[in-house]
Order: sequence, then C-alpha cells, then structure tokens
Amino acid sequence: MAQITLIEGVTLALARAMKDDDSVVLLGEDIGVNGGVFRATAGLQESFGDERVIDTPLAEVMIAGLTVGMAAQGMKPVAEAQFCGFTMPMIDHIMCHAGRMRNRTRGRLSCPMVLRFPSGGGIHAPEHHSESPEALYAHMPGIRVVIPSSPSRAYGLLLAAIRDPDPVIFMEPKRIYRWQREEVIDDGEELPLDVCFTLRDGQDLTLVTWGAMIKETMQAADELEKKGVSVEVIDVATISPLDMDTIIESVERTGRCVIVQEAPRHCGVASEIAANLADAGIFNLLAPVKRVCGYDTVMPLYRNEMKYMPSVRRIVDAANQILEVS
Amino acid sequence: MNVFNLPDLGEGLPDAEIVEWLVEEGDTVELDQPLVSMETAKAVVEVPSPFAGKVAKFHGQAGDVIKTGAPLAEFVAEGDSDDTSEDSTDAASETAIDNSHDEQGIDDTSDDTEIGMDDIADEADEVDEADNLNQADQDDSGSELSDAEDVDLAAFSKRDPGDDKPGDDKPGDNESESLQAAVDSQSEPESSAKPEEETEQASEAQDERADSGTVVGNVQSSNEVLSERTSTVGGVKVTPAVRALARKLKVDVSAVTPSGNGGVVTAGDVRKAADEGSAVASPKPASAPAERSESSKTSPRTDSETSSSNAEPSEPSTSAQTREATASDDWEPIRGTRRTMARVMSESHKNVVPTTLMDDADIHAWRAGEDITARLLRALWAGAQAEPGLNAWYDGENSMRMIHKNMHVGMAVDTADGLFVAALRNVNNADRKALREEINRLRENASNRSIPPEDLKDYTIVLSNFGKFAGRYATPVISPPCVSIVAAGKLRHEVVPILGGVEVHRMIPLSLTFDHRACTGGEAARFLKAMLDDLAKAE
Repeated sequence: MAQITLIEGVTLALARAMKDDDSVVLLGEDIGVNGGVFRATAGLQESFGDERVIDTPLAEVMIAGLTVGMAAQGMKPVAEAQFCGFTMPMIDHIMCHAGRMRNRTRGRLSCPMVLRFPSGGGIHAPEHHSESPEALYAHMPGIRVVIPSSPSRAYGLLLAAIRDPDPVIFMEPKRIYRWQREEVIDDGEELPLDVCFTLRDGQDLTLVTWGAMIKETMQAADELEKKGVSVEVIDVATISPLDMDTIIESVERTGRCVIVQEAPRHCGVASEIAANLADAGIFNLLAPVKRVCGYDTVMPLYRNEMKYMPSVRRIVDAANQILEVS
Repeated sequence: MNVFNLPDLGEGLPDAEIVEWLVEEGDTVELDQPLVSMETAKAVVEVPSPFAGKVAKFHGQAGDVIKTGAPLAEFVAEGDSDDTSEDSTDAASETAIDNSHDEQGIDDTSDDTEIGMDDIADEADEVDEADNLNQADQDDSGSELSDAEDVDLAAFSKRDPGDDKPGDDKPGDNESESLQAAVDSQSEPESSAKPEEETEQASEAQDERADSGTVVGNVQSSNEVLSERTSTVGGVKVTPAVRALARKLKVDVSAVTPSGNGGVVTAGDVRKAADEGSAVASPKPASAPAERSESSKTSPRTDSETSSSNAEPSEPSTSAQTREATASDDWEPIRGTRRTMARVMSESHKNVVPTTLMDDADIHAWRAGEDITARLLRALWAGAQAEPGLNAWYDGENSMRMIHKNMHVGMAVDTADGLFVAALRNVNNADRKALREEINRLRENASNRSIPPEDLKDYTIVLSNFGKFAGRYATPVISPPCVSIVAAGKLRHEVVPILGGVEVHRMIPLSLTFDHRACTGGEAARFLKAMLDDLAKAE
C-alpha cells in the first residue's frame, strides 16, 4: 500500500493494465522518453518498451486515427492528448468513427480505446489548456465520458475505462493531479463506470459535482456543516452515461440541489442534471435547483482565472439562497 | 547585471543567427527598443529589448549562431550596480537547466510558444499585454517551466522591478503571490518587500519543483492525505467506492454482512452478496415528499428508518392516496361516492332496458381550437330537437314519462373521489362562452368537493367524455329517471372514402344508450343522426 497522488494513480493503472493485457498500448506526444507533459507515463517506456509506449509526431489527428484503427482491430490503445484544447482536431475521429464503430458495423467491430487528457483550469496555463469540454464529449452517442476526482478513483476508473469494450474519454482534472495523496492498493480492481460516488451523506442539501471542483465543493460542504446544514456530496465521476438514479434518490431525500461545474454554464452537464431533476424529481424539490458554473466566456488567462472558476463562496452562497426558499 | 537569453523565436526552433545588432555595446536602451535582428529557419525577426538600461555585453556578433536559451546580451539595468552579478549567475545557471529540458520539451509545447511570440512581436508595446506577460512569466518561473515559452518570457522576468507600472502585479490569489515571491527572492532579493515570508514561500516553490515535473502551468501539490469518509447506510459503514459498486451490482448494502474493521462493508462483501443474491436492492427507495419535508431538518436518519416509515399504511386523507388504493388483502367497507355509484348502477341494471347505438362523428370541417365539449352539448340539443323523447324522464312504476322543454345536461366529472354527474342548466339557451365558464366552475367545484347538492341532480340527459383517457366505444349506463346517455370516445384519425378517393378525417366515436322502455330504436337512431349532422358542421 502506498499513498499516491491522482496522477500517480493514473500511472499505476496504466502500468497494471499493460502488465495484465498485452494488447494495451500507449501513444501520444512525448509520453515515452519524456514521460508525458505531466509525467503520467513516467517510466512506462523503460518497463514496457517503445513498441508499447509510443512517442508519436506532433499530429493529434494522426494520434486519434491510429487509436481508432488499432482499437477496431483488436488492440486496446490508450492515447494521451497533452491538453484538452489539443483534442479539438481529434473530434472527427472520436465522434464520427470511434463512437459509431459498433453501430456502423452492426456489432462486428467495437472500439475499445481510451483518450486521456488533462482538463480544467487553475494552473495558470496558457490559452486552450484550461477548458472543461466534458459536455462536448457527453453529447456524442457511443462515447463514455469519465472524470476521476481522487487517486483511488483515477486508478479504478482508468482500469475500467481501458477494459471497457467501447471508447472512453478519460478527462483528468490536472489542477488536483497532486493535490492529495491517498492509499491506493494496486490490486487491479476496477470501479464501476456508470454510477455516481456519494462522498458524504446529508439530509438538507445535495451538492453535485465532478473533477477538480470536488475540492471547492468539499470545502463548501465543510463550511455549511459548520453552520448546522447537513450536506450530501455526490461525485458524478461518469458524466456519460449519467447515473441520474443516484442523484434523484439523493434529492428526493434532501429536496435541494446545487450543481457545481467548472465549465461554462450554457448547455453544460449541470444543465442536463438540472433538467433531469425537473423531469423526474420535481415533486420532491423544496427549492429551485441551482447551478454554480464557470462563465460563458473563453477561459481567461492567468490573473482572472480564479475569478472564473466557481469558488467556495459562490457554492455556499447558492446553497444558502435555496435553503432560505424553504 | 541582467542576462538576456535568446528566446525561442519560432515554433520550437533550436537556434537563430545574428544578422545585425541594432544598438552598440554601451548604448542605453529603452524597454522594447529593437535590439537585434535575428534570422531563424523561418524569418528574420527583430528582437526587442526586455530591459531598460545600458547594454553591457554582446554574446555574439553578426553571423554567429546562438542557441535558444543561451545568453544573447547582458545589461546593466537603470539604478543597478555590479553587486547583482551573483544573481545574474544564478539566473544563468537556471537558464541552463531550463535549456536542458528544452531539448525534450520543444515539440510538445510548440502551441504555447506561438502565443508567447505573437505577444512579443506584435503587442510588446502595449502596456497591458506586457503586464500580462510579466505576470505570466512570474507564475511560470515558480513552477519550473522548461519549454521554450518559459525561456523567452524569462527574459521579461529579469526586468528591473522599478520599471513596472505602479499598481502592476498585485496578484489576487495566493498561488500568484507565492510565485511572485519565488521570482523576487530568486532574482532581486534586495527589492523584496517581505523577505521572511517570501523566502518561505520560495522554498515551498522549490519543493514543488522537485515533485511536479510539469511542463506547462503550475500544478499545486501537497502531501495532504485523503481518507474518504465512510457513510453509514442502514447501520453499516461503506466507502464511496464500495457504495458505488453496490449500486452497480444492485446490492442493498444495509443487508450485507460486513467483514471489514469496525463494521465496514468491503468490496468483497458486496461481490459475495451479489453472487449469492442475498441482499438484492429494491428498485428505488422511494420516500414520500410529505414525510421528507418533516424529517429533513431533524436528527439524522438511517435508511432503515426511512424504509420502516414508508411501510406504514397510509391514511386515506389525500386525494392521491384515495385513487391509488392500497392493496391490503382485507375486506374494507366502501364509502361515499363509491357507495352511491354502486347503489345507482344496481338500480339502473335492475330496471332499465338499455340498448346502445354507436357511430362516428366526422369533425373534419372543424377549425383548429374548436371546443369539443361545447360542440357535443350543442349536438345533444340538435338531437333532442329531432327526437325530444330522448331528453326525457321515465317513471316505470307509474308508466309515465316527462319530455323536457329545456335540456339540462349531466356532465360526468372524474375526480379523485369518484365520478360526479353535475348538471349544466339550460344548455339549449346558453351561449358557448357562458357554457364553458359553467363547465369549468362545475369541474372545479367537483374536484375540490365544494359542489352544492342542487348541482348534482335534475339533469335530463347525460354526456360522458371518457375518451380523454382511452376507449373508442362504450355501453354507457343510464341513471334513472333519465332515458338516454351519450358518451364520446377517444378522438382519432380515420381513412374515409371520399368521391372514389380517400382522405384522412378526424372522428369522434359516439355511443348512445337509451332506455328501450321509453324510446324506440328509430327515435334513438334519428337522435344520433341529428347529432352527427350537427357535429359535421364547420361551426
């Protein structure tokens, strides 16, 4: 047992998956010799050789195309994009091929690939490094979207993503790559890809979030609990398919819900969750559903970055607002 | 002494050739003044001076190739003296480190580089942009940027703080402050405002360097250990991961025997329970809204408490509960409207001789938004004008009948408490708007049980609109002393032969039951025909 960070959880899962299954290969820019832009693949080329940990040219479209092709022909490729913004040219391959391979071939082929990339802001990176494009991918049929928020979930969910027979977008919240350490046992145990994780039980209010926003949300929950509010915290973790049952079951008990997302508010995953609550859970709501989100702007650079990101204060304010309603 | 290292002038270019120095050694230059003309593999670029001050030394002449990140020129900043040479040595060695990373990091960060260079080449003279860059490089320096952008931006960080605009660099958040401090304490210790704090923060930043290995940006790290709370579900403890697994496998964790320390349910316990099928979760642990609102603010409950309170038999108090009768396997008395219904229907069945006719009213000619109920009421009156004998009461005991001059229609109103038949008075004389208002009033009164008894009697004919829910035709039951009842089924589209072709028309199916003791079949058929004709009209 070792106490490891989220990114070490990623590395551990990659190593375990490669050890267990010879068809697992990694590819990406500078993932081999250099160990990856955030060192997620550090040491893996030394262990598994340059045929299984492949340094590619700087060509995202090619990486995506290779990955789809390898996956359709029996490999289990795990591609790394260095930043979320660099996945935009890959979308054609993801959406038009990976996501519909099974349907297009009437089940003859599937596409068991994983595309990993760091996402989210808060690390003072330049433009198009800091977005949270989960809603884009969640909108594509046939694609799973998974975002871990702790070292153990990074390990368990990535293993499950690699073993899953369909394409998985694995978005890593880079701001919390090294935020916390956690005991993670390298036992090859995967975590379920289609249920939410309830991190904290409560009676008065449900906070729903995912990815790096877990940090602020848990802090907000602490603050609210100090004032005597009993807060339930749900880490959605698997954005698509979305496990609404867990969220609805929780909100049926608490009657109040605040959804926290780093991505812009308009047409985000938070909106989808709120719409589902309106659909299936409205008779149990005691107050309007609130969304605390980024703004509908380009992710700002450097100095304004933290103003863009939902803060503990904004979450607590939203919670207090609906606690006052009833 | 400030050293200006050659920034990456393109997208990950390893070096550049000096074409021409635009100033002389010993010249005093201003910030952003064109310093040197450099030729890269792509273009000739004028490099602006990142400092204001005196150019002390060139590290190459025209024709020399300078590696990216290597020293290009040295400056004595305004107000600077030679005793800072130690710092510049530090800076140089730092650059060397960066440069060694650079060789690996060039490709992967080319996009970043592009931004940095655009900013420098095009917008360096804009104060705001320069500020942003300055801010950026300070953040970056603290986090060991090893890419090309870092090198070119690093040039700006060596700018004398005295040149900064007042009010510049007041970072709002802690991360920026510590990074700012890290930069200050490394390069300009004597200008530090808060030496102690900054040294401390700088050492933190140094720790970060050891761990991060991050090429772009500043990923915070800490040794804080996460130990996720177990939650108590139905008296047993579970971690979020095990709880999620239980959800996936549809296992009720409260029914699993825990094997972990302190009564914690493990993943193995859940798997075992799933294999054995010993703790199958119910599809959805529903909880009534009313109950939830009472208990939500009180003491914590476990799920087992929730389920036990759910199991309590509900009082037939609210309308929803009345409708969704709870199955109990026990005999229970029927009360109220249900009892009345039973009595009236039995009486009808005992005495009335019911006969039912069915046909479809073609309402193809109607305009959009036509009020179906209003039209049905009008059609009833049209039928009664053709055959008044159906708008009548019949007294079998005395062999008498009363044919009514006016028509009071009993409207069947479905409510949670049962079916009410409310009387709509003088349908033959009322205008459509008044009728609609009256219908709405009756309906509302019926549903909140405030309908006065006089509204529930003395109707002369009955209209039932059961088709709102489902059903095409029916054999509606007459309530004596009335002799007829008309029921409208579900509106539908039907293929109709028209002039040798076919059209699709909207149809309302009608079912007329009449008491054959009081009316003849012919009367009923003519009554129904008159109704169909009236309904076929456009308005």
